[in-house]
Amino acid sequence: MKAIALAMTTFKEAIRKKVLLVLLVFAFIFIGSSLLFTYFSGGEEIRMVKDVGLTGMLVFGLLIATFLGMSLIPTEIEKRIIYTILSKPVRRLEVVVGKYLGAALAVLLMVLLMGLVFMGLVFFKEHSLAPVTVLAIVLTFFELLVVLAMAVTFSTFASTTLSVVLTIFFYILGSSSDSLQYLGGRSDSPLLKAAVKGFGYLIPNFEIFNIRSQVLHNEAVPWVYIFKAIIYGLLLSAALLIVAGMFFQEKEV
Amino acid sequence: MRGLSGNISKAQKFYLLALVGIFIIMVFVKKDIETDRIKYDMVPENLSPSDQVLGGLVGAFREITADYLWVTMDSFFHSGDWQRLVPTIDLVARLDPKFIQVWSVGAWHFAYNISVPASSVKIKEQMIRQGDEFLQRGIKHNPHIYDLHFELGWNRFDRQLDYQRALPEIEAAYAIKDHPHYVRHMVAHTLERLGRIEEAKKLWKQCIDEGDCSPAFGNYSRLLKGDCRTGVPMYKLRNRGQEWEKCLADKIEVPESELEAYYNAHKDLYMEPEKIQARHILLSSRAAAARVLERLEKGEDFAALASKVSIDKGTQEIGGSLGLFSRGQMVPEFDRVAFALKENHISGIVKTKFGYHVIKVEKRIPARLKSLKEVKTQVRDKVVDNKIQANVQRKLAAGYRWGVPEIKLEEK
Repeated sequence: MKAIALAMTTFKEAIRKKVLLVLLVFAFIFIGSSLLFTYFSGGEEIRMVKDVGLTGMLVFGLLIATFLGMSLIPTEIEKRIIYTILSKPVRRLEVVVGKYLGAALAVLLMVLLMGLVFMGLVFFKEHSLAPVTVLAIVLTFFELLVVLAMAVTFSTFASTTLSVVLTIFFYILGSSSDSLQYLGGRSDSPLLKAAVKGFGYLIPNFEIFNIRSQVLHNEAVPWVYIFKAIIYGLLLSAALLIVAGMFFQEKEV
Repeated sequence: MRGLSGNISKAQKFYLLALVGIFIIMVFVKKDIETDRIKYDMVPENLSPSDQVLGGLVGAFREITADYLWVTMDSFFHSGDWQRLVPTIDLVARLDPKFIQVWSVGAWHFAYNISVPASSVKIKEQMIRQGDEFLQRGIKHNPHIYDLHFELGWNRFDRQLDYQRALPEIEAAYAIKDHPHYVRHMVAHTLERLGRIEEAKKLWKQCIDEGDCSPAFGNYSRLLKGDCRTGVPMYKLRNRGQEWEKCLADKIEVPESELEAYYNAHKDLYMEPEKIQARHILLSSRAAAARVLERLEKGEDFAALASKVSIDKGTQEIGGSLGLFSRGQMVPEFDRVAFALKENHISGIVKTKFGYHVIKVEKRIPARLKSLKEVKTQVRDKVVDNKIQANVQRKLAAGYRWGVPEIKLEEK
């Protein structure tokens, strides 16, 4: 209950941030600009609209999630609001979870708004909307939840700048995970092979959330896969939040 | 303080335990998802190590990078920048191997747009081969898409004249559901080229029976009449005049004596018909024509008079001149009178559907036989064509099922 109350205030604070509004406007412009590219697309207009739109949502979503996540706890400490919260009988993990849920709600709102514009555009171009297009947006949201959790976790032990850098770094690593695993598997050294494999379990595989290729080629993705991917995203986020809770517990405020 | 620190470690223990629990579940979920991704064909297969490195570098932006390059590919094509087009096609295909368009458009660039204008036969040949290999790669990534099989079959049919290797690909496209109706037509065409006329007939019949009539009807009746195009390359039918095809024909050596023999045996083909050069004056009534005739008899110049009074807008300004023409180019009534006139003689009044003519013949060129020197190219084309036909028939009779087997390309 306490976490939920905290979530609601965090959400209200988050959506009042100007940077979010600016990013949202840029996202709209970016997604809309796909209509301009179609002129150069060599007969692949719908592919361009879908690809630019989905990638735009991802990129702006990443920015939104990173900026929200990294500032959640440090600002509280800076503004000394945290004392008021911690003076109440509330566990520190509850604080982390509450703040995270509030930010997640804000990310959800942003994804919904971007998604509506994007789906409108696809419908305008294709006169239909394949379920896989909607599912791609859903998975993008869960991918962003993991990124948000990463940013929150890093911010509990690193400076703001460092947490942004780390979040971006791990995102890139995670989205290249398939290739890294493949290349690691081809290594001659068994030690390196094992290391890469172990590393693969620790680093989130963001490719799991990427069904953009299926959207572009109009291939259906089974519901059971979507369900499993969502579970994976939630588990990852939960694990990251526990780590964040552990660091926060140790932190002298 | 001690109590507090003991409390903390207790909480930490709980966190750690929870973390380990979640982690174990996650490993299983992830493994399960990874098998799913292979099962549902979500991970691009058959990627080379370099493709993997490329994929790793662009990560989540693989498709958008492919799209950017696709757009640049289009501009390289329009500016004719082949040097940059070729590697770009390759990159797009590596980034997004499921992008069907890039395989088919890429192969089209190789086999046609780059190959046709290339100046050297070697480059033409190499580009056609590259297009073939490129499509084979595309099929490896997308075995269940009819487009690529069909494209490869067409490439071999049209560019390589290799019907033997074209057939399995076109048949593979035909075996895939949701293929468009022209795929079946191409199977029939290929069978015909291979001399398997009965099978081709059966397919055309099947098309007609299923209501897919428009090209089927003509082809079926043609085959029934025994007019078969066994071994006849497509270009012979379409006369596209492409340099590549010319190269093929140029390969065949024809001795002068053979040209002469053909020329002597087919002189009727090289006769030039009788021609006359004439002027005319067109008038709307017989009375007006009679007045014109009177003025001409008084010695007025024909051309000058034509410019003044002729109502034929097309020739009035040039003194009624009709230039050189042979029989059959004018309406019959006109022809009959004009070809009967002697040089520099003027006709009477000739009535045609256009009105009333007065005709003057200025020059007569009798029918003549064109010299071999004048018609050498046409004679050579005929001889070469016959040679190809004979060659194919001989090979087929000997049991070969082959298109134009003896013509192989080498650098000239």
